[in-house]
Amino acid sequence: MNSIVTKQLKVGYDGNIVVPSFDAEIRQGKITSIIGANGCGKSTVLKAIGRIIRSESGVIIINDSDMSSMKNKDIAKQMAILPQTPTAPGTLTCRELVAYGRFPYQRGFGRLTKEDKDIVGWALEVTNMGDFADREIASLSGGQRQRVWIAMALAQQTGIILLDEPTTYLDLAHQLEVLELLKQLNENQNTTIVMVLHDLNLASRYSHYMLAMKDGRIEVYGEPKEVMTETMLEHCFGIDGDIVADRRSGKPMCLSFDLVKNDKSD
Amino acid sequence: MNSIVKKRLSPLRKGVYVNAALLFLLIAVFLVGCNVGQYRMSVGEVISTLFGGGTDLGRVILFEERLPRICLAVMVGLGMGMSGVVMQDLLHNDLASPGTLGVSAGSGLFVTLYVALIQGNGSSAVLMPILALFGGLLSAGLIFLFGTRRKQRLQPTRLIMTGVAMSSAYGAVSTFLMLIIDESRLEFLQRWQSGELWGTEWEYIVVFAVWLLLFGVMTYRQGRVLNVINVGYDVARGLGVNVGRQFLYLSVCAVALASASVAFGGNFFFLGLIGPHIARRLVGTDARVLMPASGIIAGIIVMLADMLVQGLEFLANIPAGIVVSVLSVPYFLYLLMRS
Amino acid sequence: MERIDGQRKKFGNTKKFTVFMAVGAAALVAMMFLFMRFGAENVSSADVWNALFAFDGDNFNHIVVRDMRLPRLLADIMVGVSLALAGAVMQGNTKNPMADSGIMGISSGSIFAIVLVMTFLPGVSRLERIAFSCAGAAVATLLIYAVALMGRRGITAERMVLSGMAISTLFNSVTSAVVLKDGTSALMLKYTAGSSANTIWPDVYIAAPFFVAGLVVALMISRSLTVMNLGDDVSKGLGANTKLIKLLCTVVVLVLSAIAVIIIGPVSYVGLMVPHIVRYFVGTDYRLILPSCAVLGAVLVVFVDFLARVLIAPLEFPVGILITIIGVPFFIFISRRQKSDAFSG
Repeated sequence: MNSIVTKQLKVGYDGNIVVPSFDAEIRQGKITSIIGANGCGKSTVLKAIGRIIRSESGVIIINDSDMSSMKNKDIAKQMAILPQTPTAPGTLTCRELVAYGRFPYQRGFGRLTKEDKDIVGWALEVTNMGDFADREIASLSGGQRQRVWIAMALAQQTGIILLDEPTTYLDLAHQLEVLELLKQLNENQNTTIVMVLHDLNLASRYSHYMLAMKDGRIEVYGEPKEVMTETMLEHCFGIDGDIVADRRSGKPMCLSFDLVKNDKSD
Repeated sequence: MNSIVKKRLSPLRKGVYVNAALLFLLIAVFLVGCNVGQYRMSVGEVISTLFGGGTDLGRVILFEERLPRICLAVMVGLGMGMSGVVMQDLLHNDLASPGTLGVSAGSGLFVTLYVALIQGNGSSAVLMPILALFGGLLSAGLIFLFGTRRKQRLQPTRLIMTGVAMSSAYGAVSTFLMLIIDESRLEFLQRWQSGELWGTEWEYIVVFAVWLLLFGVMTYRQGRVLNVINVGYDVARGLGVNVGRQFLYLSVCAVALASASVAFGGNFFFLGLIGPHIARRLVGTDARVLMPASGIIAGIIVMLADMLVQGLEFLANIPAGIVVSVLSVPYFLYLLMRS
Repeated sequence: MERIDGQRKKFGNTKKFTVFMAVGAAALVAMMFLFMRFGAENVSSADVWNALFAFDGDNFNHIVVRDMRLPRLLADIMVGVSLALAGAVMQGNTKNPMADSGIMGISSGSIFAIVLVMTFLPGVSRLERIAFSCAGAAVATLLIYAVALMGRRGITAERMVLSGMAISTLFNSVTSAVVLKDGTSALMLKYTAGSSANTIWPDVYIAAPFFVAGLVVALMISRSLTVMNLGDDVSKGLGANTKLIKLLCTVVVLVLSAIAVIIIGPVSYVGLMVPHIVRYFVGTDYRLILPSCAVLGAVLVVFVDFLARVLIAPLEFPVGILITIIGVPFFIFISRRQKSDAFSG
């Protein structure tokens, strides 16, 4: 079962093609992380799937229907996307922001129905932000802020959530907190999660599948143990690293690394 | 969760209450405003005259002189206040407004051209706002063209800088026009540029009211969309908003709201900036309560400025816009200092 | 500071500076000649020469040149030099590339003070008017500094431009109020449009000493300004008295712009454009920038005023308006070139 299928997806900015042809199938109910060096096109692909940027050509299929034939709001009921480090007006309360997740379901003036309110409350509870519901966004810490944004995506009640580097600017504990939350969502709600992650080891630890990119193309796509290899490190990141099993999770992790010495990395 | 909901008013509900209170205040100021002037009338007299009673003289003064002025003052405020909210939300920047973005100046230039080259003291009720709208849209388009770069994200502050510069260019052109026209038109234009409530014929007021109602409703029904865009363009796209189209639609609405105010009420430079600011403090960020609150506050400000001009001897014969500017510049500078 | 490559680079700029000054001076002399020769009435070259060096009081052309065009020309030169220097000093002092005495609202302060004094004390002398112009400029400058210094985030270009706009709006509003109440709008408008058309010799005599003083002080502080550009901490480390220099800069700016307003009215954008063009040629050393600005400022204003006189002769444009029309695209060009982080409003 696939949540997202892309066929010959071509994406770029102003005629500058970043991703020439991207074919991938994202499994339903799994966590998939897209990794790669800076500028490899990983965020570009995610934004194109989340229709934040328009793709030049190609097909994106979401839950078995072609995205180009779907209404914007209907897509928003099936797939939520959380851009990298979004900023909200500081005076907004958490509850207001999370309620914006109900946008695709509302009409007209947009009074929240009982159901909407329940869902907003649930999203706040799940993300552990219930106590902060009426606090202003500006008064929150970085980790709390990220959880509110995730709550907003949850309130969208979609089977798929895309996240662009959800752990940016967070310290280690808060990074884990966010990823644990995503893991729980995946386990409890069967949510398909696709995210761009910078940290290879966290990606390996929390993902069912990893997709490594290089120069806009897929280098290798599979389970962490297939992807986290020394060859991949060299090809995608230009580093000479040691892969060992993590003592806690048993997942492969990159322990220590150097720049690749020879010229092959160019 | 429910306990918290009950303890605290939701921002939206609070906003509705604040709006109701503001509306009440507006009506109060309105009634007091009817008393101000040479001929003294008590609030009771005003109310009875409004509903058909009172003396003949009272009726003439109220219906021919004071009421149109006050209605105009309120509507100028409503238009500018709402337009300011839309512009600030669209650009995520609370220094945006019809004045700072140069939209009013663009509208103003077209009105100036019309008055200077074609008509005497601007008398076509329908043509004036349409010309102003055209000028405003053209100006907004130019500012967008010069203030953005391809391959780069929209930078609101750059748009504002461009707007400020374009305003001074429009100013130069209209100053030149004013140098070559006769004195009576010159005085009219100078008063209009300083923000004089000139369109006090009932004919203008009806056109203005219809215009405001039309574009006000068109804007207001997109309140939710505006909320989401205000959170971020990418977020809005993710929630299913067609950002490009809505941006265009709302920009046109905002320019239309401001244009009519500029056409009939002249140039109230900081009104579209101050109104939303005060309103934001009272009702928060939700555009659905922010737009009316900002409009009402701006309306109250114009009415108060007009009352000062009408009531105080040493301010007599001075355009109300000057009073608004003098009062709002310090507030604006204060905002600049702490933003 | 005395690194060898630095020396070498400076030498390159010095050479460019010499060329720039030579070309600028030649252009200025040529413009001055054209300015006196052409206009509503064209005067022959011989008449221009004789009017200056063998004046004949019965020759109408001589009178046109000596008593109408020459004072106006000198006024334009003084205004050009003053505004360009004021702009350059302000940009150096505030490290804000968009600084300009007109855009920042300093001129509007002067105008307000002058209108006020002309309305309520009609008998004041030219000298007193200069004093009031300076006072108005000082009040506006104080306001700008208050906003710039009391703000939380230091001076951003955007904030300066917006506060300048607000300050201009404030002063212009009050000026309009005075003018409208007094019923002298037509008269005032001619003045506020910015035109040197009615300059007579006494205007030049009275303004000249202030102009020369401002010019000399500006050139004297040019070395310190260069050091200041390295940042307050560095310049303090190099032994510069930053407070004194900043104060001097401020006084120079307001005297020069007040002089310009007295002579011609409010003219924006000269102080913005000229230093930017000059820096493109001679680099960042204010010892080279300031003299170059003086020359280019004079050339610019004389040239534009020349255009203003001949384009629609016998009518003419106010020079201030023409300069604004040229200056706005330039402003937009500069603001587009600014790095985005300078605009993080």
